[in-house]
Amino acid sequence: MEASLLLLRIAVLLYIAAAASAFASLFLKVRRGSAMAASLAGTGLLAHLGYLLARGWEMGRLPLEEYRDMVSVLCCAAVAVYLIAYLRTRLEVLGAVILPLVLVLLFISDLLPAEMVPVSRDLERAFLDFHISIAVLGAAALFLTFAASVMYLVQERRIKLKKAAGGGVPLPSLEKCDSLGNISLMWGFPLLTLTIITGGVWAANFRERPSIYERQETFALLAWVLLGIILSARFFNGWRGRKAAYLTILAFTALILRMIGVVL
Amino acid sequence: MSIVLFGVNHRSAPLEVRERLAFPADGLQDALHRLTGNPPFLEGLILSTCNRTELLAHADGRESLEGAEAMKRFLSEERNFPAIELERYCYRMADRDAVHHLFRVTASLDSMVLGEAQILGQVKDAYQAALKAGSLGAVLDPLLRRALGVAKKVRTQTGIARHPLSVGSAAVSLAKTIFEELKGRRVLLIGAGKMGELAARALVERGADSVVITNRSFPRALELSQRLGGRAEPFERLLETLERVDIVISSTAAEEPILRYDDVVRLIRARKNRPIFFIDIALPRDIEAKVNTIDNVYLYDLDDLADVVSTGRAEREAEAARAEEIVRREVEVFETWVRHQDLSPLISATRDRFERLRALEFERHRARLSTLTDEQRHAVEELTGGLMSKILHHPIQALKRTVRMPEGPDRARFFREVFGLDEKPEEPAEPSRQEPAAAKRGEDDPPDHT
Repeated sequence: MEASLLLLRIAVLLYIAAAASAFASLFLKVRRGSAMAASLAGTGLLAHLGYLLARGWEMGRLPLEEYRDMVSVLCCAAVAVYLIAYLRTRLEVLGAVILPLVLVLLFISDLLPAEMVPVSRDLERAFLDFHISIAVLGAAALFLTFAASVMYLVQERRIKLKKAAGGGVPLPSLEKCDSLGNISLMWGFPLLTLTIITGGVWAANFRERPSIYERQETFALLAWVLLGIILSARFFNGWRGRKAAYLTILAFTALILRMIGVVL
Repeated sequence: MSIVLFGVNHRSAPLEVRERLAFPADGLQDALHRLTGNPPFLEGLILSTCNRTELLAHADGRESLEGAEAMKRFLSEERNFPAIELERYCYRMADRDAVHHLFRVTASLDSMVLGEAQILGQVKDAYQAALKAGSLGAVLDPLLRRALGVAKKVRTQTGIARHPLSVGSAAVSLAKTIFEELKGRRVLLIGAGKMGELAARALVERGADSVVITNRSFPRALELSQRLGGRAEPFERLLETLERVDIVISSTAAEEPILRYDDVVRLIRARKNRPIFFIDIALPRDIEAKVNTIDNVYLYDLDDLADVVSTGRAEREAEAARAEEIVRREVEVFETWVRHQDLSPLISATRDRFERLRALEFERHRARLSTLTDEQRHAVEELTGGLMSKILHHPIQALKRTVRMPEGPDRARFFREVFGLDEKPEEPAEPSRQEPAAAKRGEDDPPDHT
């Protein structure tokens, strides 16, 4: 137990250092700060994976049973998404948006009660693991959608207020934010859809009192509906821009609330 | 060694004078030949642009400013300009100051428009011309290459060239905050104003696709479209045309706005929310200001652009301080390098002299040493050689240390005196040995023209 916790602490420290150098690169113009952030986060990711493996080894199964473990896996996946996106786009701001959020979630996960979903049969367990895994992957992809929306809103505001040409934090063009958000949403939304379907199937078949709607799923459904509206409005009417970005952030927030177990 | 610079620039001389002093590009090679064929000049470079004519040379002789006098005569004869009058407009610099000036010029710190890119190309051209004319050598060639390197460093490490300074470049940099790249973007120019044309041209030069031109007078639009290599559209179809473009530059003389809020709301719906960027440089304005509040519509007017330009200028000035610092450091590095260059013949001459003395002593004692075995003889040689390098080690180190100090040249002179390097050697032991110092042109050589 102790050794694996040490790995988690190392991972958190590395993430903190990575977030700090991402900010230093943006605001203090430290040269190669964002590359440094990525390498620190990458090393942190290895430690984090090590922790999750050790945790799974201890439990003899995937560490997805408790909320705190699931959030930890989600953070790990979000850091991986950040690294992939950074390596592909070299956008300096990504680290400064995603890494702090990951840190906040990791700290929250530490406060969560060690609550488990009671599971009886092996088949049920496997089904639930699948459900949670794709939920985590989908949410991790949506981290990027969220970051793109935040960057879009800041950049859009700068342009509208005629402050775009000055110095300040280097931000990608609106078009770039938009396409990054759209691509990641195209990954996240289908996974989220599959999550909701498997969740419904699980609830209908394995629960003692089968029901298709659970109160704790309100936020997940809200997120799914909002993202669905955003995607279809874009598909049919080219809808994009400020309002779409706000709605995306709202949907992402709802999803994260669900992931940390907040019940309306 | 001495580096001399003589010239005029946009601050020291009016345009009429600069015009008369400019060297035509095709006569540059001959002029360079005449310059370097002229004592005391060993190497030369002529930088001639519309904002400056500068002559740079490596001159023989210790008094650098004498070289500047010779340059004044050269320029006066060459451009047929009275020497006395030249005195009023020209500046002259030597050595460190000349290097500093050259670095500043190349880094665009001396330009009329701070940080403009053209001067770098012009210095490159001047360098190429001088290379072709064979007028560069051991001093000016590394100096020029260093100057180009410094300019590149300044451009990449400071923001001096980054911030927009004209309406055209402001339009380009703003468009790039909206669109990822200008390639494939269509530009619409409404009206035939000069400034609008410049802005459109700047966008196309930076990769924007085609320009569509529309004007109340269709023939004017046609004429302009030929000049810009675009297509003309009738003014009546403005709203349809707007659906197919991404960047709009408007500069009509209309008294009333030609595009109102409601038009643009309808437009953005018809465009399926594809973003559009309006640049309104007309006075009075062509596009209602409220348009800027519509999602996916971005509107900049003349005042906004002027703000961008003045911010750009302020940013460049702020960056200039950092650029000056880089230049100052680089001048120091170059100066140290030059002094090291000056030292190396001195050091090898010293070693040579001692080697010669040793050989001479061996020669003198040849009879007494002839009884020694080969082994013993070898030991004596090693002993004397080791002694010699031990004796020389400290003085040479001390000499090298003074390279960065202002008293360096005095130390070098003292060094020559102490070791008698300026005296004629007593009958050379090995006449075939060449004096290495003589291979280098510089202060070791007697001036040619005396």
